[in-house]
Amino acid sequence: MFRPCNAPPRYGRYTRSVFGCLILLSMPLVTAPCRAPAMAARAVTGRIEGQVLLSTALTTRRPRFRIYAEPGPGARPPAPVVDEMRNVVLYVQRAPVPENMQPARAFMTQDDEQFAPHVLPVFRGTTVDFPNADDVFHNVFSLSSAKAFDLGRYPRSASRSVTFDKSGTVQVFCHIHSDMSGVVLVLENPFFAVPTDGGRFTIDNVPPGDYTVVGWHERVKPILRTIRVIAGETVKLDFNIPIPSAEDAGR
Amino acid sequence: MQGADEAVAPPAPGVMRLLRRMRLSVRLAIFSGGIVALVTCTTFIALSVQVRTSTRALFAEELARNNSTLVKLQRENRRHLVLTAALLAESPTLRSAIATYRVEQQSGAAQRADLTATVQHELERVGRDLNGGALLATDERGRVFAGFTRNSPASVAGTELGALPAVRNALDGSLVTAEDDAYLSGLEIGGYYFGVGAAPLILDGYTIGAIIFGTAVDSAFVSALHRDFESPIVVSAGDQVIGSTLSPEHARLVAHDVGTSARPLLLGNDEYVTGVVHLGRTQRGTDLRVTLLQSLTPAVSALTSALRRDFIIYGVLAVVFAGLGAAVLSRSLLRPLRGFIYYMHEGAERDRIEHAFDATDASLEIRALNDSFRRLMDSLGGKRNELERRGSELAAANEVLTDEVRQRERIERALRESEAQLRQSQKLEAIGTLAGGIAHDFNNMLTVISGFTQMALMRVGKNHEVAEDLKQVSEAAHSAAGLTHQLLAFSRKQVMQPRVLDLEQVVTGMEGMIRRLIGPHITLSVVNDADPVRIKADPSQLEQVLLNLAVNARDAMPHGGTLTIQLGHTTRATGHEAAELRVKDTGTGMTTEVRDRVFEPFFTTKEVGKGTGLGLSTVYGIVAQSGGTINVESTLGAGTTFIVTFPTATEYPVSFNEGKTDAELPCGDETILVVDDEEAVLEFVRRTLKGCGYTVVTALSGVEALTMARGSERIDLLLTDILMPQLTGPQLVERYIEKFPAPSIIYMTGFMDDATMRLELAEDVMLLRKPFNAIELARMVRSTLDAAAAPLPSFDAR
Repeated sequence: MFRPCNAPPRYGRYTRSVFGCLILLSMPLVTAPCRAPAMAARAVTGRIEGQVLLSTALTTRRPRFRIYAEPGPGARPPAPVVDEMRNVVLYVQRAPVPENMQPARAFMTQDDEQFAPHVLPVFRGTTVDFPNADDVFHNVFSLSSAKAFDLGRYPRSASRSVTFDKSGTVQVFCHIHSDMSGVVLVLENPFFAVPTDGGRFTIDNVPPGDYTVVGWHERVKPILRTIRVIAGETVKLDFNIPIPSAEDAGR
Repeated sequence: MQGADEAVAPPAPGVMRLLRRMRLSVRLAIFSGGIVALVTCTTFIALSVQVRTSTRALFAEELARNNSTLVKLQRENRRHLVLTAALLAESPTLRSAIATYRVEQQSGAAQRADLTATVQHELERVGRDLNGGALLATDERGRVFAGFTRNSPASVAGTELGALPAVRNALDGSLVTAEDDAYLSGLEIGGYYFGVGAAPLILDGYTIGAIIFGTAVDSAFVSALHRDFESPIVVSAGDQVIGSTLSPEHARLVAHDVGTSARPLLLGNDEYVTGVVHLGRTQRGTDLRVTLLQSLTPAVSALTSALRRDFIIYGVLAVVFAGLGAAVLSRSLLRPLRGFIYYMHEGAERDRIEHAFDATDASLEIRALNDSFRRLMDSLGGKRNELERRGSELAAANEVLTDEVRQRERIERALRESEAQLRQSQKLEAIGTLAGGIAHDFNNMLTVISGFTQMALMRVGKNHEVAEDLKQVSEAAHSAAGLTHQLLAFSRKQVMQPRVLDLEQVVTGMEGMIRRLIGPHITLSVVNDADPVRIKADPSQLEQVLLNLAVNARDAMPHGGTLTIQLGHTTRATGHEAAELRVKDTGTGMTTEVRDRVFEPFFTTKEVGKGTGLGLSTVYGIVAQSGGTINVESTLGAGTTFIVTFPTATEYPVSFNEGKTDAELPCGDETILVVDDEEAVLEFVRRTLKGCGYTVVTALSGVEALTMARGSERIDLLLTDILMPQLTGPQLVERYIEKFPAPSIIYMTGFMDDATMRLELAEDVMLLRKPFNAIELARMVRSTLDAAAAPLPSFDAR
């Protein structure tokens, strides 16, 4: 289940990104164990699927600044373009938690002085590993009320894990690299999804009933949609995540 | 000349007078020295002004340099602040705390005081370590999240600083490092001021807030600046002085004066140039400023005093040298002049120029002067000669003029005298006219009285008892006629008709009148120690001679005396026998001068208005006319004697009444026209002539006479009065002759006027003087008619 993330110690730039991709690709697999009991009761659950549209402003607007007037040897490399779609989480509020849910594990790697993935939605009780894929020390910590922790400094290839028992938004930082930040979104139920690159998402095995589906983004006020899930049927739900106004999400 | 000038010129002030009297060389020296001193002073003042201006410009330049240095420093400082803030923004603690706080606040969870406290603590710790004045963290809208200021213990959380340019810029995501003063910001927290820089707090590429870092702008800041620039500094926020090295009031003045820093600022006695550096505006818009000042006074006064010292030294030297130079120059100029002055002085002393001044070696000016002097002296010599000639001429002319003046005075005096005499004679003329008029009327009346008395006598005969009475009346009338004659003589209206007279008889006849004339205080004595003296003269004129001499004698004896009239014969004056009349008085006598001029017309010694000055001259004229002489003998204080001689006459005198009143009247039968305006006279004449056998026609006027003549036959004789109304006698005769055959003519008159005078002057004019008696009338008529029987005499009325 757990992919050998702590495989050979030497990662080139390329391998690192491949590794990152592998992690990203494994995301649905991570959620797969949640699906197994749902499959058994196919006839009694419904499905939510849809399309997420991001406004161009949100995807392109990644302000940068330079502390020095002239870019020199000390200037930092431009940050890699991040697909904002990956930072979007769609989850169902107040859905009944299926029984016999297995404790799950998830990863938030420190790679290239960034948390990858930047946003990690997990079901309450999930243990998240924070492996260090960089050559430098990291010190992952959080001050959030949902889960405050400090993993201390650990070198490359080392990993520490935290179990998130309480739902809420947990801001994750590195004590050494102040620019590093990540969000572990601890959710009440396992009915959530991160859209694919194309924006498509699917939430399966949702028990029938009336729900509110939240479209979440770090800097966007949560978008709420009410739906009715009928057993054996698929609910279509599209989200248009707009440019966050100053009122909504600051800058 | 000099003395005269001084005497004339108004008294000059002491110094000016002294200057004017100084030697030329001294004056020149003083003048040159004065000019040099003036120039020196002017130059000094101009240089002082220049120095001041230059110093000011220099200081302003230096100040500008200081200013730009300060600006650079401030920018650098700001840059450091920004960089520091940026570094602080890297703090993971701050970031995580602020980010977490934000997220949880958004999601509506409970406030995380622990996070705020963490941030606050972190800021305080770092801020204190950094020795900064203020360290603040804001959220992404510029609201202070937490913060620390050194001076203010108060919480700054919640302060809105989004308006600060630096903060706004930081929140925009950029970091100010460029030299852009627009992002200079001040900050005011609780009355304290800071100069701040801000850096964004960026997380994951997004700005979540800003870190503001500032240094305090306070007295420490001022002293630090003062250390660097060593010039007076004032740091102010708006009008408020934050700190300064000047006194508080001066600092306030500077704070107020900012904005007009172009001109020098005067503080107390010092002059300052100022330069202003802006530290930026606070969140409340207050301008933070640093004013650099530079005092001009020490530099300028040092320069000026050095300049003054130099100028005094060199100025005094220049003045002294200029004076000396002028003195030497004037000496060399005046040396030749002195020789010339000596030469002139010599000439003046000797009163003439002995020899020419040797000016061959002298300068051009001296040669010209010498030339002019010589010409002047020549001209003066010529002028002096001319002056002498003129003087003598003038004296002569003056003499002539004096003579003329004297003569003119004499003439004027004579004129005045003659004017007085003229007045006198006019008066006499008037009196004469009056007297003549009276005498005329009297004569008419006396003619009537006398005529009718004689006719009465003839009628009654000699032996009648009234004959004697009538004779008395006739005598009285005759006496009255004499009186009128005398009146007329006095008035010189008597017709001159010389005839043989007995001088004694005339004098005796005049005696009464003379007595009346001379008054009682003078004794009259008439002496005749010779035979009867006969002369041919006009009796009235003789009377006039006597009267004038008597009046003259009287006037010579104002206090009385004796008038003696002596008659006699003499042969002394002419050689042959003559009658002599001496009129002698015992009066004051005459001086020789008076005696010499005594017969001059209008000469008189009497007061003006008392004598005509004509009396004695008339006497002289009459005597001379009568062929006699007059002389005067006089002794001053003893008396005067007038000696008159007349040629003696051989004939015998004719008396008025020689007892012929009873004689036969000569008669005739001719026709006679009688004209007189007096009816009584007319009647007397008519009766007398009629009694003689004549045919008589009478008329009361000339006009009537002409009428009568027309109506009657030939008139043989025209007997007419001279003075009548309308036509006078001569006019009547003229008219008559024009119309009728000319008759014989006899004029009657009792008065001598101008017309009568003219007639009298003509020859052969028969004149019957009133009063006349019948005999006289008859005789004159007969003799005239007889003469007419002979060939007619030529008659010229004019």
